[in-house]
Formats: sequence, C-alpha cells, structure tokens
Amino acid sequence: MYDIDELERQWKSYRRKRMLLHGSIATAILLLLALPILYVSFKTAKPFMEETKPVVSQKTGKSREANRSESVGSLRKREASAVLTPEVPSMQAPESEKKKPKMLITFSDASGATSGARSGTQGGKVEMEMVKSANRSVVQEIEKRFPLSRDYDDAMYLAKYYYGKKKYKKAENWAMQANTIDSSKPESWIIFGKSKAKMGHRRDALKVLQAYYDRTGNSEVKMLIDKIRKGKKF
Amino acid sequence: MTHRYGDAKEAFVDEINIDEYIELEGSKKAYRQLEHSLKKSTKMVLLYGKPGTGKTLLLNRLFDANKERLDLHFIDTPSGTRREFYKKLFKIFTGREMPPNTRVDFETFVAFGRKIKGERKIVILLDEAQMYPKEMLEEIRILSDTGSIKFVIALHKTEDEDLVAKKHFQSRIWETIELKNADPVEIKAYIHKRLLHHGLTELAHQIEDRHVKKIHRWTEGNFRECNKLLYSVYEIYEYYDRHNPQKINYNRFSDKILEMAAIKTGFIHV
Repeated sequence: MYDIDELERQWKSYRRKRMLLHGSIATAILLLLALPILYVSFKTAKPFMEETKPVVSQKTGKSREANRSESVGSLRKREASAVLTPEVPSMQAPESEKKKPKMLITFSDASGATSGARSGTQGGKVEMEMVKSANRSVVQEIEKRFPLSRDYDDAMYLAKYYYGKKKYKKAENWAMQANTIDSSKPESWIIFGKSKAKMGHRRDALKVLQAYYDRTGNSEVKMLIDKIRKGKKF
Repeated sequence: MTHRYGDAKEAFVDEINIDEYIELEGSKKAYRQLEHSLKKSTKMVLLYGKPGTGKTLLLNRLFDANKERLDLHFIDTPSGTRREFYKKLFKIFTGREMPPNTRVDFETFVAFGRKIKGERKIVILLDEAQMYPKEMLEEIRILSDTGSIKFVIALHKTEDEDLVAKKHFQSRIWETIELKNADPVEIKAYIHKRLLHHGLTELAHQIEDRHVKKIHRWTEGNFRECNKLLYSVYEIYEYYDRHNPQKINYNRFSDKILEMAAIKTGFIHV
C-alpha cells in the first residue's frame, strides 16, 4: 500500500486550494452584485435624505419635516378631520413659493430625446403623455432636485409617474407632497384618492375626496367619488 | 467489512472478462450493429473509439456469442512480424498449425481466399489494428477483396490512426461503428452494475449523482479510467477499514476518499 499519510497531506492541500478558490469566486461574485446595488442605493438615497431638510410652513410655522415625518396613520387622521370640519387641513406652500417661476421639467419623448417645457403651461393631457414616456433618469433627476425646488408640478409629475407605474404608495406620497405645496388644486387630491383606492383603502379615499368636494364642489372629484363608490374603473 | 471493500476493489479490476461484461445502452447498440454487419456481405467493418471505450470487450463478446455458428476467428494481439501474422492466417484457413520450416507467400493466401469463395465465409476479428504496420494493413485490405474473408477491425481513434483507417480501408469499409465515451448516466449504470454483479448492493446505493458527476468529469466517461479510479477508491477504503476504521463512515460514500483516489491516480493534480 502506498503512503496513505502522504496522500492525506496532498488531499488536505487540495481541499485548502479548493476552499480558497471557492472563497475567491464567491467574494468576487458578491462584490460584483453588491457594487451596482450600493451605487443605485447611494444615488437614490441622496435626494430622500435631502428631502428631510426643514422647510418653514406658512401657517403653523412648524417645519415641513415634522409634517412629512408623520406617519400615514396620522395623515389619515388629518384627512378624517378634513371631512369633519369645513376647513380642510392646509399644507399649502407660502405665497412666495407659489409665485416663484415654475421649474423647467425635463422630459423625454418615446424616442428618448429630451426637451424642456414649463410645466405650468402644460395641459392635463399633454402632461400625462409626458409622464408615460418619461424614462427613469428623468424621474431620478426630478426626485433629486425636488428637495431644493419644492415645486408643485414636480411633485405631481412624480405622483402621476408612479401612479402610471402602479406604484401606488409612492404615488400617494408624491401627491401628498404636492398637496403640502398647493392644496387648492384638485390633481393632488385626485391622485391621492385614486392611489388610496387602488391600494384597497376605498373608505379613506372617499373620505379625503369627499372633504375636498365639500369644500370646492369640483365636478371631476365628484365623478371620481361616484366611480369609487360604484366600483367602476377609473 | 474488509471482504466487502476487497470485493469492491476486485469489481473494478481492468481485465477483459466476458463474465464482467456490463451491458449499457451505447454498447448494446454497437453490439447489435456489429452482429447485424456479420450477416451482411460487407468486406470490412471498422470499429473505432478512444482507448477504454470497450472495443476489445465488445469483440470478445461478439466472438463468444457467435463462434459456434460462424466461421469466426479472433486475433486479439497484434502480430509484430509478417511471419507471425501469416502463421495465424494459416491456422484460420487450414485449422492446423503452420509446420516448422514452412514458408507461405502472401499470394498463396490470396489464391486460397479466391478458391474458397462461395464455399466458406471467414470472419476475422482483428483487435488493436492501429499497431499493425502499414504493409500488413494493405495485405489485409487485399485479402478482404477476395470476397471470402471479412475483417472486423478495431482501432483507437486518434488523429493519426484515424488517418490510417481512412487511407487503407476507406474504399473497402462498408460499415463503421464508433464507440463513444459514456455519459454520466451510463457511468452511473456501469458503476452500479459492476458492484451489483459482485453482490455489493449496499455500496452501489451509496454512490450518488454528485459522486458520479465528479467521476465522469475526471474520467471523461472512459470505462478504463473509471475502473482505475474506483479500484483506487476501494483500495483506500480497504486500507482504512483494516488500519483506521474510525475514518470511515460505513453508511456513506466518502467524497474525501474519492478525491484522494483521484489524486493518487492522477486525475487531480495537487
């Protein structure tokens, strides 16, 4: 019989090499996988971190951070109180913000070419088309600049974009952001209500929409309320 | 327990033994093809494949199964000289040993072949044909042309040898049969059947697909290499069983021992 000890020694050496090789391959794969994820998360996390910078509210003087950091539950409470009292809780932006020039929204057409347009001059239909054809980089760009711009149209753009992508939670949040800037416009209420309803919170959606309708008598909102109540498509 | 591993080792001794013949799908198909070609009026049949694919065993089996009913002869070892080859031919043709101090010309064999045409149909199985010199291969070709002698030629498939086969036999060979290396399924069946043939059911069932995968990868589906590896595996098992039994799990096939055997037989280079 050959030298079994020598054979065992060779086998141990072989196993060691195999373990090292497998370890190196696994590390390389993990690194390859982790790098893009880290890169993407870094890129996306940055604007959200900036979003939490305090912005002074006109009415209350409290920081916007405090407003936004409230949970969805507290938001619901506020929406509920909006139904009960004629005065819908206002998350309006200061006049100075309102009057400042609209931000230039960059959007891309179906071919991927980008162009600019004053969002304030966009008609609803055109705007929706723009949202549909937007690519991810445009959305990222808007998300990135929003904490600085605090632009209603930017927020609505993102709300519509995520609603179109069926990301209703995000759509709801961006509609809320838009509402904190200008609660008088129906669009943010509509997207907010639609998103709520799509997520299965029909009662909450109806409460919020009804509060807005009671205050403004907006026919578009009324139509949406009826559709949600009857379970029709919207 | 000692006997068990000793028997397993013996199951993988690489020798030509008809009793040890393991029928697999690939070899079964080649055998049927070979047997069928014996009935046809082909002058030559070429059986080729890489070393260790079972050509010799197949020829042995063919000879064993048909020697009683056919004028079938088997030249298993190559003749180093022309005289040695003629001696073998003389015995095949006449049924007698060539008398000492007798010289037979090649022309005599050709004349004999022509003479017996229609009366006899001699089939000669010629193993390891790649070892014959070119001149002798040429004579074999001429003999087959007489129409009374059929050659079944087995040779290794290497680039050079394939060239030899093409050069000398291509125009005469009416049928070629290639034996290929086994796939993992066949290797598994081969190992199992070998162990079961020796009554080692428990050991056969210990070998799992992942072991077979490794064995196939290292041996490239070559039966001879597989025998070599498995012999070494059970040799190590036998050693531990005798000298260090605590190193063996008797219920499982050891990856460690398999890898040690692969190192020993040169499939793994450390």
